[in-house]
Amino acid sequence: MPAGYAFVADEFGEMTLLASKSRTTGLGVFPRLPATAPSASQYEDLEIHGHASLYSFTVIHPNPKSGLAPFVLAMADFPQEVRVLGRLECALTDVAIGMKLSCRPASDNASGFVFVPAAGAA
Amino acid sequence: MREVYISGAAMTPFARHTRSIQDLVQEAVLGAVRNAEIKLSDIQAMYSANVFGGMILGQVLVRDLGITGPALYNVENACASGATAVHLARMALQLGKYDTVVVWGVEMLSQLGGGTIPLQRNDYKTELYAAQGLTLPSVYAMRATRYLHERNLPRSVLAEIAVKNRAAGSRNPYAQQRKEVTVEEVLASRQVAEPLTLLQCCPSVVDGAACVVLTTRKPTNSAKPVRILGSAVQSGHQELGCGDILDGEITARTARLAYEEAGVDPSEVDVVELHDAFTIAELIYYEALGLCAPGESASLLQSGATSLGGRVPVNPSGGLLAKGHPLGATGVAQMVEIVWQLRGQAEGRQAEGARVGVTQCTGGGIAGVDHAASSVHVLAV
Repeated sequence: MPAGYAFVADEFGEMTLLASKSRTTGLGVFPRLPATAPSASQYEDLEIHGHASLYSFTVIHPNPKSGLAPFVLAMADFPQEVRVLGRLECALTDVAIGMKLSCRPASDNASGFVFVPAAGAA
Repeated sequence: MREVYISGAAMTPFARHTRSIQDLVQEAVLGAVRNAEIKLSDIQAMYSANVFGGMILGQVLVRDLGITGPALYNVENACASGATAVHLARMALQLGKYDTVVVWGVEMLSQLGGGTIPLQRNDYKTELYAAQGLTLPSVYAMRATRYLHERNLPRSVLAEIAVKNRAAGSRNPYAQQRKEVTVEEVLASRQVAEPLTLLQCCPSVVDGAACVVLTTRKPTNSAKPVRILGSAVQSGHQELGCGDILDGEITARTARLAYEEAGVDPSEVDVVELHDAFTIAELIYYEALGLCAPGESASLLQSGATSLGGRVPVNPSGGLLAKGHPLGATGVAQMVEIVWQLRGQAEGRQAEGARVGVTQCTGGGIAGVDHAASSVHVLAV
């Protein structure tokens, strides 16, 4: 997993993502700004966790020549006022705007995390 | 401030060309110079817009043309490169730096081997998103998903944009794709990024060049003199929090500046060339350009107002969807089309009686910024 984006925070395997919060607007941005960035002082660290709400999505169909299967790319809004873009592992027929999502590790994904439907979420 | 005219306009067909990039630019430049009825020696500066061609491309392109010597500015602003070059050239003319300049845009996407245009890889955030599978079509697709959800509309409303623009493109000899399509054909074409199908995406393998002559000297040729009344370029804000992806903020902001400078109200616009790289974009830009009230873009489309023969035809050239989108050339080609429309020279696709035209294009989708660049121009006779 790339350093700096996420870590497993609890015994259920859910992840905490590392973001930044603008000191000016109070709004979040993911991923966290590099600590070495001269602009880093304009932000404070923010950990995002809990269930996100699916804001929008698309099912990407790679060119048939690639042999790759369709996958879902999602925009997920977290309660900490941060939007995160990531892959969503879910039956295509079950994907719906507003569904609750959680974040899990994903070893086959370059970002190291993936969204899944939140267990027990309405 | 000095008036700036577009006295000459020309472009190559947008197509998969086997000729060289030099050939395309030289054809467009010589065509625009002839159209303006000036000599190559009248050119005091050159602006060359391109994205993928590499450094000092402009000098390479015109080396053999015999106009070496004057200042040559290479301009890159992704899909808004050409429009940005026109903006910069006009500013220099207004300030009295030059009297007559040429601006061209060119791209040879066939040399990239086809497929989706890659995101730029110079940003840690874009790198992460690209690793997730993010491409430009998927950015627009997520907007489309949200649009249909919020407005409670069927996918066919997106397809209707493709039907309209491809019908216009079938009348344009400069367009790459000249086949009319039906809603059913659009929806049945290959899925790219749902809800966008292949016929809702601009062609990805296309080459072309376009050129305009800008001058502060009132044109003496027989065509109606076209003036640039307003010209604006803006950059995108950082996306923080959980904003509304249907809000075309950068486009609305840029359009407001261009309209204000022009002293033109959106209701006075007669014809528009806008950045329909994907069908959803045109619907969002109707609202951002003030062609209709927020929330009314689908109604505007379905009223026929933006079709040829309607109140304000949008993309009579076929737009990016049919004409093609060679990135660096697009912004200049939009102006060539509007010049032809305002002069009454757009044979087969003329917006009758058009006196005020608008061009709009957006450049680049950096992760974390709505769009990297936006440019809007207001032209009039």
